Amino acid sequence: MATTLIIAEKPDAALHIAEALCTSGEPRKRSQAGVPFFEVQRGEERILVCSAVGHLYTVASKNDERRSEYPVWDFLWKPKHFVERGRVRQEKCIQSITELSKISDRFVNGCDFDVEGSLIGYVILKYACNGADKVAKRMKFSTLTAKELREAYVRAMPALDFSLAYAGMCRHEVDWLYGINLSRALTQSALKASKRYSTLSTGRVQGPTLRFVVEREREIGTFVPHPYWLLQTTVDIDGKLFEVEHERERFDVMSQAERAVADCAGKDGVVEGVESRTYSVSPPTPFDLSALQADAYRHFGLTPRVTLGLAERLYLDQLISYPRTSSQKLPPSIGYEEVLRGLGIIEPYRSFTQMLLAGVLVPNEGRKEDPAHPAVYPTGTVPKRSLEPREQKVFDLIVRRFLSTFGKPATKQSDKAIIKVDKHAFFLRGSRVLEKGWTLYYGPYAKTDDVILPPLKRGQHVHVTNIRLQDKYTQPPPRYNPGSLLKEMEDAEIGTKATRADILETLYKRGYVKEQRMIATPLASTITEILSKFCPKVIDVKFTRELETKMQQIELGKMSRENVVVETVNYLKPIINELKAKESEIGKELTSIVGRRITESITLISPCPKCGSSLRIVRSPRTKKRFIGCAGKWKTNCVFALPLPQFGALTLLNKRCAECGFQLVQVRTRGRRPLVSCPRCYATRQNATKVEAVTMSPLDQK
Amino acid sequence: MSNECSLCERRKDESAQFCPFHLAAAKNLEDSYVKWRDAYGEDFTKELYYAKLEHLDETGQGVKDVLPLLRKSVTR
Repeated sequence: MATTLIIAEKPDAALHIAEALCTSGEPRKRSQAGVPFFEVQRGEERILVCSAVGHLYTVASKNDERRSEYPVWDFLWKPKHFVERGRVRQEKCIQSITELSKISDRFVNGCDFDVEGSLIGYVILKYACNGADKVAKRMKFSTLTAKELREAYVRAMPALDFSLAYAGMCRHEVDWLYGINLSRALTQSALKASKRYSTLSTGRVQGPTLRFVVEREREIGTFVPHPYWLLQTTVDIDGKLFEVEHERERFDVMSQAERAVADCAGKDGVVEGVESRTYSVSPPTPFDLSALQADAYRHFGLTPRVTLGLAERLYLDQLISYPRTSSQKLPPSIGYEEVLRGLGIIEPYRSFTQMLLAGVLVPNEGRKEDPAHPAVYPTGTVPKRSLEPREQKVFDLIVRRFLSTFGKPATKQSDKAIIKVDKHAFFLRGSRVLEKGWTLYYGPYAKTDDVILPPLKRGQHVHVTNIRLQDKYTQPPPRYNPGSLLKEMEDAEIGTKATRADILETLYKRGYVKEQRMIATPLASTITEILSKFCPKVIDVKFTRELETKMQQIELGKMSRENVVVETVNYLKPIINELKAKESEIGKELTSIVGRRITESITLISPCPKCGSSLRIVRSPRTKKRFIGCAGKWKTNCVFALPLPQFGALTLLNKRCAECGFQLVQVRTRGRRPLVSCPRCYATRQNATKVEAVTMSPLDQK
Repeated sequence: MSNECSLCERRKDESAQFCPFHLAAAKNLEDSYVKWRDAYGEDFTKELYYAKLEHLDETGQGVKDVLPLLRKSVTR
């Protein structure tokens, strides 16, 4: 009996594949090297479905040199557990897949159909299954529904999608070459100049992305507002007050604005007429990932990475199609009617689906295409579990967007009443929805604020009750938020739909940006200044975009991965050599900022409750124990101190204790959950225990 | 001559007074005066201009850093 081994990307996907392909009974859950896999019988064929846990292999240096050494040009693909500590799960996973491959005759890559999924499966088949990549087939699917998975297995591609896998390999290799060399150059320069270690990093996409934020910060920091004036005017129409706007949106010269006020003060206005315009608003296009992330941020405040995580959970639950897509197309092959009938079972959508099913179904598609997947759409499957609130929100947004794309255009009317006061014209504006069209389905996500004008007749007199000047100033450009920065990256065509959200998270993690309205830190400005001074091309959007294009060419089989990697090395070599030659110069520029960064990382927000000086994490020179001490010790003789856990990596959190308001600390110890505690409450409890122990002396107990 | 900007820790060119960030702020400040004078009238002085900008939330931090130095030079 032939045995087929299918590699899925995640355990949930493996279960769905096993369930879909099983023709007799239930899939049997078994385990190999402690890692679960599924065994199913499909006619005469035995199928083993195992899963990876994301990437099991990674790019790493060939020569295992010290972390401080650079440049590094030679690399290999190595098991992740060889390179990163604590990757026990990945190690066991490779062992399990290797053992299963020994008893298998056929191989199928069943990972998600995109660059990363193709790469994950290819590398596992090549390295863990003894070169099975040469004989393996490829399943292509966009949803994890049983019907589509069965179809994908029966009609599997006869060979792996090598061009996609090579494009993925190339991206990882090029990013590794950039990251390792540039980050080591920055870190070592700072270390040698300041004798203090602080991880500084940049990358192929990270550098240009950070530049957007830093340049915006610079624009805001050097902004000089300009004055202008508005006329705040209120008119009385049939006993009701309305704000009207002057025909000149704003006055740039104060004397002209003052003259207008003088002209109109105390006078009545006359209605000259009402202009109405009817226009139609087309339905929205289906969601690609970026549009979904932008809308989820706008409506729910979810960061792009969180939205992607939630969408992936919905995909693994068979509720939506594959979310990592750049397509705005919904081909008829997804089965519009079937999806709508499925959604009709869910109460809030029942009436909408009935309305749509009564008409002709043609979605309003956008221009963007993705060769691998359609736009994000609901599969029509009813949730089998109760979705957590954020999942429910994203699911609702996706369903309503899908329904809206089939809706009719909305018809709106905008009204403008013209009121003449002296020689000045004022406008009273209104708007209303005439036909709801698609906005009915989009519900809370479609703006439909009606402003109805009062009935007005030509020649009607209205009384100006108030007119005064309002001082205004031009505003600096707004700071980026995760949604708008993601859009900027997409417009600049840097990064991919799958990696952009992670890059934004890295900017926060590295301390380059802070807060939701992204503020570039001084460290970010310094790093960007250094890179633009010593290697401007590294943060040049155009250059990064060209590299992206080359990787897309690999996907299309028009360029070879080797050529792009060699080109990258040849390009980076002189840059890195120059950075190395100028280490001390760069180090000088980084010294003060690194020093400040280290100081910030050990200084608490909460001041000393005794003397008000700042509190810092310090280590006793005598006992070598760490504790929180008062920085005012040398000035005020303050001896305030709080104990700290002695083991694990300590981080000061940007959160305060709910009980006493003191800053919380987090301790990370390998193999354990991070421990969050309040040093002050801990000390109070310790002291209480001591007091209790003293009170309950043996004598008292008697 | 120090290579550090007199307003922050950033490095500056030897011949320059400020770092590139504060230089840009100072340039914007000088360039914008004409617009403010056009808006308020010919008798709008630089002193008044600086005083107004100092208290506006919209004014960039770099500009606010430079303002005291420029105000001093006007007073002299």
